[in-house]
Amino acid sequence: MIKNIKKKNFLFFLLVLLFLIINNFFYNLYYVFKSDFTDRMIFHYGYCYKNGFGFIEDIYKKYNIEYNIKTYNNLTTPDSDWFFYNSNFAENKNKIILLNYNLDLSDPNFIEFRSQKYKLIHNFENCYYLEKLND
Amino acid sequence: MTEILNLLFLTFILLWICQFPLCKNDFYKPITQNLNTLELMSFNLSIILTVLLILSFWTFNLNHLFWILIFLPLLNLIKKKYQINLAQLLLLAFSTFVTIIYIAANLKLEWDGQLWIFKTINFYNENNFNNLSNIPGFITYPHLGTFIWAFIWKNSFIDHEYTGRIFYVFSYCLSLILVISEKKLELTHKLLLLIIFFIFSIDYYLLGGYQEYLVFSFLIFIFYFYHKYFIYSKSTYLIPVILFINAALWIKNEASIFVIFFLVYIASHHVLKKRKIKIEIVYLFIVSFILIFLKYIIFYKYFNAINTGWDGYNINPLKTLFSFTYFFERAYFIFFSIFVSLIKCKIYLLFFLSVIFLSTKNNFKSLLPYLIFFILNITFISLIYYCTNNADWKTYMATTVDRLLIQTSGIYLIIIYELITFNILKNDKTTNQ
Repeated sequence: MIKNIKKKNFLFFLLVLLFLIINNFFYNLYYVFKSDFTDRMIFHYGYCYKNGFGFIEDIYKKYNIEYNIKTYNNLTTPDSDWFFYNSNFAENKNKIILLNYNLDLSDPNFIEFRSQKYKLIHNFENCYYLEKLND
Repeated sequence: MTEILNLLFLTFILLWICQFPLCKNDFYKPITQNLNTLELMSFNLSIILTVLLILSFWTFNLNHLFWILIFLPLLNLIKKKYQINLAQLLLLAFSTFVTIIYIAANLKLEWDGQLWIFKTINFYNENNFNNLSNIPGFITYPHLGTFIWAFIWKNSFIDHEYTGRIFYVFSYCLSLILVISEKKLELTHKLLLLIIFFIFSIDYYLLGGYQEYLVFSFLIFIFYFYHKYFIYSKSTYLIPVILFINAALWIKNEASIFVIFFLVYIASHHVLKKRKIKIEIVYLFIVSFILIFLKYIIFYKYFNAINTGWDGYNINPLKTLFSFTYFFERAYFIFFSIFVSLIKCKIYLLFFLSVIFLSTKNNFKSLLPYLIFFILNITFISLIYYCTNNADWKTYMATTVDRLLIQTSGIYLIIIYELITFNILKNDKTTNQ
């Protein structure tokens, strides 16, 4: 009788362990425990390449932005607009963020993008924060 | 550590919230007599979803609503003899927590998730349904899933988007455990079946902000409670059926078609079991159609828009549709794509295996309505891509067929479970003799 109960318990815990392994639970738990949210976001979305989470976060923090900025990504990937999107804020049409573009930075005050003139505010590798120049 | 504790907190909060309004005590006895703990929770969930759907049309404080929902189950504690099945609840909490930890570690929103998130942010900022026209994304996509996502996110101790997705996991796990909760099997057997069902049904990619698992689980709830009604002939079991139908309609547009197929399923099930269609089933049909039209009317009234497929979806002229060259050109690609998706959605493999090896003459009548539902579903999917004149139809097909199939795949777990347990219990009986 006791042997039978022990066998059943053993099977039960074996199955529990199996479920945890299938879900990669131990590693995931360690990873969540060890790294903070921003680190994990940058790991999945990248700092500049590929979705520029780290770059966009730095822009929003550094310039204390309280409006939505349109992002353009040169790669075929979903837009990164949502990272700091706030439905209560309006979009600032004079500012844009470009990800994974190769721009000519010989004159940072005069950058051309989609037949519009911009000046550079901030950049890291192929990611740029630009402001539209008044005509 | 705080994140992990927060996820644990949210897991138990969801379990707690679903304890109201119905619970196992003398007060609700006439309704709850034949319902186990998880069935009651699912019943309650259908009511909560309906309330949340209605509230989503107004602007209000999501934190206040959260505290109300936390407070309400306390009322049930006042009444005596509060009974719950702790093993079932712990199994649900355990599976939800393990899966949400996966999302916390792999928190990326996948392609469509990054479209749905705008609706979520809209509700997170306490804007209502009406404001959806001012945010990016597809206006004709329904919003209930994103509203609940925002609701949980808003009330999480940690302000991260992924915490709201715990509801998707919770609903998915609840539906799986509900399927295995009914028959009197040992807990080890149930856990084994849960793991099998989990392996066959999980697609972590779809937990990246897609709405598919909500439709998946709501369809399970709908079919499950319908069967409960069919067995006990008690019309109260049709209440969660109607409420989940309504909820599913507000999760994804294609749910309207799945609901119609469900009604066909009911009709065929009644005919095959030689059961007369009662008046409450007629009401169910009428209410379902009203709910479908109501959703479209609301979208038309608010946004002057009605969903008619993806952007640029138009139907070819009849002459083209009936031409032989057109048929052979398209049919091959559609057949191939569906075949690949059926392999990808592993539940279908399990379903076919069960049909081949476990069906007998006795249970074939129970199986047949599921086969009818399956054929209707495949026909619907084929027609979507067969009829369109959109030049990108192959791209759309490659990215959507598997998702359409996975949404309805959960319901086959009900019959698979029946066939498996029927054989286990039969074998147990033979060994005992």
